[in-house]
Amino acid sequence: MSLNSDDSRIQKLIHYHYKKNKHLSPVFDAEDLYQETWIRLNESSETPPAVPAGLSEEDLVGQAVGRAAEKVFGKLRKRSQRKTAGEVQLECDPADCLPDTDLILDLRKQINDLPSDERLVIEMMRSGYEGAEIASCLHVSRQSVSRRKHKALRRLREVLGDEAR
Amino acid sequence: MNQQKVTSKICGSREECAPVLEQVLSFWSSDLTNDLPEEVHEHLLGCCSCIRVWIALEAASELASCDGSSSNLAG
Ligand SMILES: [Zn+2]
Repeated sequence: MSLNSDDSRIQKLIHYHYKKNKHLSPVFDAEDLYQETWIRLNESSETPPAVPAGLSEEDLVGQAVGRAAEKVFGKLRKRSQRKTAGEVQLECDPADCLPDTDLILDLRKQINDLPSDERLVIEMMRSGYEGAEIASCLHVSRQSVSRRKHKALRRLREVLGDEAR
Repeated sequence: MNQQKVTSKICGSREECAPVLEQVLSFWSSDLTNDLPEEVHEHLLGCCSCIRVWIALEAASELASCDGSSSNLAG
């Protein structure tokens, strides 16, 4: 199973557990819900090696970059299709657009180190939830959701440093 | 230009890239599919620095999903 399909599996599971437990929300803390999702996901993995045999961390990063580049260029292409043909040209050499491994590892660390309330908001947003849904699920105001999102993004922005000039 | 980072070609100016990167971060965090504003899209098509950050964010978040609290995920 590829990491890509795992990713969509995670999103589906979060979605499933969120929907399934929505009615319990007054007594069911969202943090528990999130953790339960991870636990069940782990339990459901039959063969759980963190790093597939023979693959170094650098290989994994390289693969992730490949998929990320595909996704990003795909989104740019899709967006370009809504414009006239003369305006769709990517002016950059894609090879110049690939990030350094160190930057990715720093970002990964920062994402993993995000306070759980901030990471949860980011994960849910990336899973397609809107601010109001997240606020309702976490029993916080929309402003609080927005604040957590912005705090998380600010932390990531700091990691980007000079890269994100 | 930073001489150590030979692979990090810089395209846009700091002033041009800063607002785009805010949008990229926001876009990355909310998984929107078709909502890149036109001016952001146009900038990205010509700015490898900003595309690089976006790719880095996507790759890092994929990797973060596969370790930390979910270190047993791959399979
Ligand atoms: Zn730029």
